[in-house]
Amino acid sequence: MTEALLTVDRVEMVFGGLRAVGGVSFSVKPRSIFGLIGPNGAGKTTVFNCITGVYTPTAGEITFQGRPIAGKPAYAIADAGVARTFQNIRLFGTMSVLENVLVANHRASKASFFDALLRTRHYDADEAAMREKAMELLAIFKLDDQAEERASSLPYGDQRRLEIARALMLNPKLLLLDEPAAGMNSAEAQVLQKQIVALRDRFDLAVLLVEHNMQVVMGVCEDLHVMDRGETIAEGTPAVVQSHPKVLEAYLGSSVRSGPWVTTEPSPETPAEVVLKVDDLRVNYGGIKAVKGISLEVRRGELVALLGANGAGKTTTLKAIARLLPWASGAVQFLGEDLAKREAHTLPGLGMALSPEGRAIFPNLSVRENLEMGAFTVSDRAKVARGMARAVGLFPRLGERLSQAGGTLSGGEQQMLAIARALMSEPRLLMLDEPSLGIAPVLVDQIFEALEKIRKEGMTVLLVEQNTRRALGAAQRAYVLVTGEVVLSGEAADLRDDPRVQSAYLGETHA
Amino acid sequence: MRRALVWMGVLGLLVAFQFAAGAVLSEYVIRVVSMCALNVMLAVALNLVNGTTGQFSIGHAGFMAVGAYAGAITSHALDGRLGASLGPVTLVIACAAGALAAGVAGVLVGAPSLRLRGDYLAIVTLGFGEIIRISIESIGVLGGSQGYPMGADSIPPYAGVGWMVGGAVLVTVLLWHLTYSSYGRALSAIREDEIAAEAAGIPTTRYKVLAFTVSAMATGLAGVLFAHDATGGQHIDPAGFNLNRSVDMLVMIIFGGLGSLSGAVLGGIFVAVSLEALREFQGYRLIAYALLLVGLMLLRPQGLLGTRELSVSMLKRLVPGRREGGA
Repeated sequence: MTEALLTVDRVEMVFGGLRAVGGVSFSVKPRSIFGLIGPNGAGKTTVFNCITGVYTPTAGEITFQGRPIAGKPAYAIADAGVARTFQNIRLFGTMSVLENVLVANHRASKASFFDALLRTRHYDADEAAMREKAMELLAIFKLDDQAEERASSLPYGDQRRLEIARALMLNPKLLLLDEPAAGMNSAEAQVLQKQIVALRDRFDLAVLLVEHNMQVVMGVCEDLHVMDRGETIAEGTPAVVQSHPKVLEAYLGSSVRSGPWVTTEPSPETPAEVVLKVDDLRVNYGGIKAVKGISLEVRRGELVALLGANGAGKTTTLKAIARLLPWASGAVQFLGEDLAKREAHTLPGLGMALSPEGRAIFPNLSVRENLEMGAFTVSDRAKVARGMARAVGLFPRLGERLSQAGGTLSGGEQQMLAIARALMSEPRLLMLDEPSLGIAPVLVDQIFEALEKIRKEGMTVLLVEQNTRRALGAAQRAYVLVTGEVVLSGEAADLRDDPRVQSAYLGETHA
Repeated sequence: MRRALVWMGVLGLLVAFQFAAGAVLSEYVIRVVSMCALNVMLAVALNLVNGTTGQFSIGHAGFMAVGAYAGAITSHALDGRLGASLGPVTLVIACAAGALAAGVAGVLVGAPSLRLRGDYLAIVTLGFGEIIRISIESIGVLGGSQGYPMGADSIPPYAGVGWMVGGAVLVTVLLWHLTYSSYGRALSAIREDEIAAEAAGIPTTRYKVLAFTVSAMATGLAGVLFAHDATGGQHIDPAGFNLNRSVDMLVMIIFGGLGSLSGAVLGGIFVAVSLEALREFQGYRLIAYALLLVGLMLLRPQGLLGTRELSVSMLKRLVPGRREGGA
């Protein structure tokens, strides 16, 4: 019986009247990979924040290497050897990749303040040693070529890896990863699994993982601890947890047992009017051609999916359509109107609603106020009330939380709010960017069910998604993007079994 | 060893400049150069807090006042004993006293208030600046609103143009070292994301207080040199350290580009030179100055250099006239 590296003992966290974590206990052995899982709002990230000193637990004790750490400042806990990454990547955006990693070595630096101020030889030697160590670390993550680039300019996947590299620069004994697979496709998640195991072996540390991607969780974790609504509901090996009835019920939802839910409805025979027509749209970021001539159309009452791996240009296309990014060339018509002359803020008035990636809800406004903001352009009170009733009907969870601040909702609930808000103006076209990103499967089900309902009511939807199976289950038609080009398009029902869809993803990840 | 030689060389140049300036340059040019040097010190010092660390102080005139008064009192007391021949010694001691006093004020203001963020900190520092000014006005020994020293006395004018430029070089080089060191990275990390900085092992509150204190000391040093400026009036009064002075400093660093040290240097020089150049507008000078600032901000809202530093490659890019950004 090896002594535990980290012990969480009956930890409780209460915010206002809300009991986010109610007496959770577990322990992590040295060099083990431990998974903390549970549906959205289970309190996993809150436990993370208690361990890393962002919050002081209301009750309970946390011990690391035999020393109590609960309530200590975050920097002291980091110093002691607990490093972490963040669910919504927190890099030092304007600083270089190398500098991001170097910051985490500052406390280990032997040069004093006056050495730095006078730039003594001692300081230079210390700095050179730090840089060498940082470059070695970056090389492991294949980020050494981008060492001098701005961290914010890296693609999403590289930013995630940079966060891990920065955490490792602290020489931790325990690495906490908060949803490292968020936004990754299946192939990328597989690579991540191998990387996590390799990290543990190479750096001789324990990993505590919060993750929604079950493939990753079941693939790498040796021990699991399952939470729901702040309470422990199960613990043990993946095999034990997987078959635990409480876990199946609370976490995975019934939809997993009955298989992915798929609409079988084909496109209507008589084509409806074209709502959105994109013609040879091109978008550049500086010298990089992000979108290289995309053409697509969306007809009234359709749900059209725009698919592709990370970095394929899906979000860029959506933002360009909404006039949030300048076009290099091309044309977009919305309800017959040429959007080239339009400015972004006039589009909601035309009937185009965008629910952006990352949700962008107003954290300090209540759920009700967030919804009202969605109806900002609507002066008809009856229409606002109707929208509110519809939002609550679609997402009963929002109805229970109308007066709660938006920022206190869980990730899945925020996504629901973002969709409901976009619907408040009763748009002619709803554009959704990655509604399933970082959300528990059971909530993803609810979101897709709501989408299906919205579409049946006659809403036209353009959906950007990297969860291909889900999106093809819900859509009538789909376009598949690879590096800024449409490589495949057609009826969703045909694409579901098309091996080229999968190769579009795999081809890109190996490129 | 080589570093020591470089410093000796710089010192030699400054001494030579101090003596040669009077013979070569007109009094007017010397005056403008001294003002530029003063502004550079103030801008570079404020940039450490507002630019690098991402906090927002609009009360730095208070630190300048503390430095100026502490320095002037010190030299006033010493000068009678040491005499004019030991003027440089008096000035160095006055500088140390002024910087130290301002540093203590920095800790006293910073330690409690740097837990606050953004606009709260701005209001606290604004209050601090005004409290210092009003306190000085009501302290009789300091001359109250009449200024210091009282009567026919004056502050010894030991800070010739060489000293002013030397002060600017010293502050700029030391803060350049600091900004581009491991400590500076920690400060920038605080600006970028405080929670992530804590998770990377940076004690954020302590480092904010550190940056604030260093910045206050440099501002205090500028205050001492301002009080002893040979081209100035050898007299300081509280009105010289009012909110306008703090706003001036802000204008310098915002014009140069928040977070860019070379931008702060350029911004400091720009403010001094443009105020001089606009003299021919006489009564309309400040209106012209305001219009100039509005125009520049419309053309280049991120400031002259943005967050970047002046570099050879940047100058090369300027030549063909191709530049991104702007309005």
